[in-house]
Amino acid sequence: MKLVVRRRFYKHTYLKIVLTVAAIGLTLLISMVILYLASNIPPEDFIYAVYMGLIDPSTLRYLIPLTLCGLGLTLPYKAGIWNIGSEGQLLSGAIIATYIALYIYPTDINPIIGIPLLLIASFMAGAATALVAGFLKARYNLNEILSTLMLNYIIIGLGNYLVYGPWRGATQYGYPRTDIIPSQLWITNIEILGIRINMTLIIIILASALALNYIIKHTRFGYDITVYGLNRDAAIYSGISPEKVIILTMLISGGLAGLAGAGEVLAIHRQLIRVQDVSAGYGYMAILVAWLSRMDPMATILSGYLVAALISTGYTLQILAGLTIGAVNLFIGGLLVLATALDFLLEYEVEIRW
Amino acid sequence: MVGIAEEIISRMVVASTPLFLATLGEIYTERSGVINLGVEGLFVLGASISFTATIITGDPYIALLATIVLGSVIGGIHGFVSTYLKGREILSGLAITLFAYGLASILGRPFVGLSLPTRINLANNYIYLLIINILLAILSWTILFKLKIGAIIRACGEDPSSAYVMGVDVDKVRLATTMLGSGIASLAGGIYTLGYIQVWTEGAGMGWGWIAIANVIVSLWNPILAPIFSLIYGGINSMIWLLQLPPYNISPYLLGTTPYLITLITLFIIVATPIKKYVKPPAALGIKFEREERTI
Repeated sequence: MKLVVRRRFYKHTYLKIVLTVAAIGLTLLISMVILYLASNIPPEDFIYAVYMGLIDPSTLRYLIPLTLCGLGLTLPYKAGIWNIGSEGQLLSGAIIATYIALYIYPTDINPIIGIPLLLIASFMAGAATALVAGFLKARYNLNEILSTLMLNYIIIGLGNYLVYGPWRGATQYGYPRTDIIPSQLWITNIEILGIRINMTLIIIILASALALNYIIKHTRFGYDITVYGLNRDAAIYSGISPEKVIILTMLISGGLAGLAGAGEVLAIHRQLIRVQDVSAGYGYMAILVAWLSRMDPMATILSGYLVAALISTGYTLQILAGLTIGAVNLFIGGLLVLATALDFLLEYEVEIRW
Repeated sequence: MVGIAEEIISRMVVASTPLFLATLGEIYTERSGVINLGVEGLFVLGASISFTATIITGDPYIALLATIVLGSVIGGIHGFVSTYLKGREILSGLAITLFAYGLASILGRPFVGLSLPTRINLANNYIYLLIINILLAILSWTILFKLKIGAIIRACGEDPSSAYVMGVDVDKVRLATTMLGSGIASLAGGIYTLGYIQVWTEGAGMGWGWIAIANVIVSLWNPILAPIFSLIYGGINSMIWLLQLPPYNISPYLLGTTPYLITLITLFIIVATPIKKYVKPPAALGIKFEREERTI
């Protein structure tokens, strides 16, 4: 028997979908076996948890930060620029939003001005964090993977320093969290068909997805990004500026992650809490969200839902079996490695000759 | 005063060892042309497994052996995906890190708060530890730059097509060095828990793998230089321990950012000063080796 491997000339869309579904199925199967062997979780409990994850309304709550960060990552990943810093960029947005709402605004700020300004400020904070890495990459060719990772840890430490130290709220009985932000600044849920949905943030997600889709498919800049990602040398010879691609893709991805951070503070927590409770690794999970969608902004919403369902599954298992939420990483990592591995069948056709 | 100075030096050497080992492993991997971001997760997994296995078996050395085997098998998944399957190695490496984080959390969960039955006492023998580390660095340098096996590994990382013509199975060599690097990274995690922190809580060892990957660049892909930043980093770690106690009382959260800040600044110094002319990553680092392209 001999395996003959040939590169495919056409990457069929149906194959992308089949392979993604296969990766999800295999991941769930492997996770089920590991959880049964290592933690004695009966397979029926696991299946129940996955089912609950898919239908539970709380999935929508995780969808929002995941999709915002994932949408942002579609641009740099299309250009082959590995921004791994969504986590830190999200937290910068959350920190700035809390700071302005608590310490800059007058307490009777009008929400019609107040909320949009907060969102803009957190977009800028996330973008600024990403731009540190973007600048170091564009100017000094410093590896963006390492700089964004280091920035994540620096901002995590800074955020925890603030909530444990100078920003610890006077009304919080000594818990490590800030005071509650004024209630008119909260972004509230509305109830549609019995499900509580945060309409403001969903609209922001839809608008960003449409805008990014337009940028990628119908603008010169989107074309530049695609070419730069496919062949860096050809892009530079054809006059595409690498600095512009790096800076702009980092700026947009960081900004959207920053918005996600403001969303977490204004719509969920209403205060800054310990940073590991603001973001349970959404920034890292967003890498999977962007990748599962093949960097297609419209499909990112769907992949955001899938990854959100995995987080919900993790929380259900936490209640059923006493796992910590860290166990979710098993599904996320498993799915990412399987999706990357199965890409082989998308890029190559394999023929078996006897 | 001598007591404190000696304690700081011994902590510095002990803390530098896990970082040094993980860096050494990743140097082998990157010299063959593969970037392994899984090192971070495998370090954390090694920290968890070595702890649980020591409690189960009672023997830290059997536990470390099990850690190396499991680490290289899981790292081997990344190796296989990024060589034979031509997958994106940044993604598969990150995936292995997340997967290993999850596995570490699940496996360590029943053992949180338990104490080790026996300990590996590194702090009292820190001088021998330092000598062993330096000998390991020299040995690795000899292997990579003076022996034929090292020439083969470096050929895969510099010019895989020529290596192939000379009869080297590029994907096999790359898979082997990835498994080697992954096993060493897990061992480093194991030494981190058994020899340094001596307890296990969820998230123990997170971040060390990233620093190790940065340290590969700072060491200019040369094993001889790997102990330098490792010792600086170990020193920072022991200073952090001192500075959060009275009379300094600096916030541990703020101090916790210093290793990353200093790593970022060191990377910046490496690429923004005249040192940058010595920064020569393997020419085919992160580039897939594909035979078909030459035959089509």
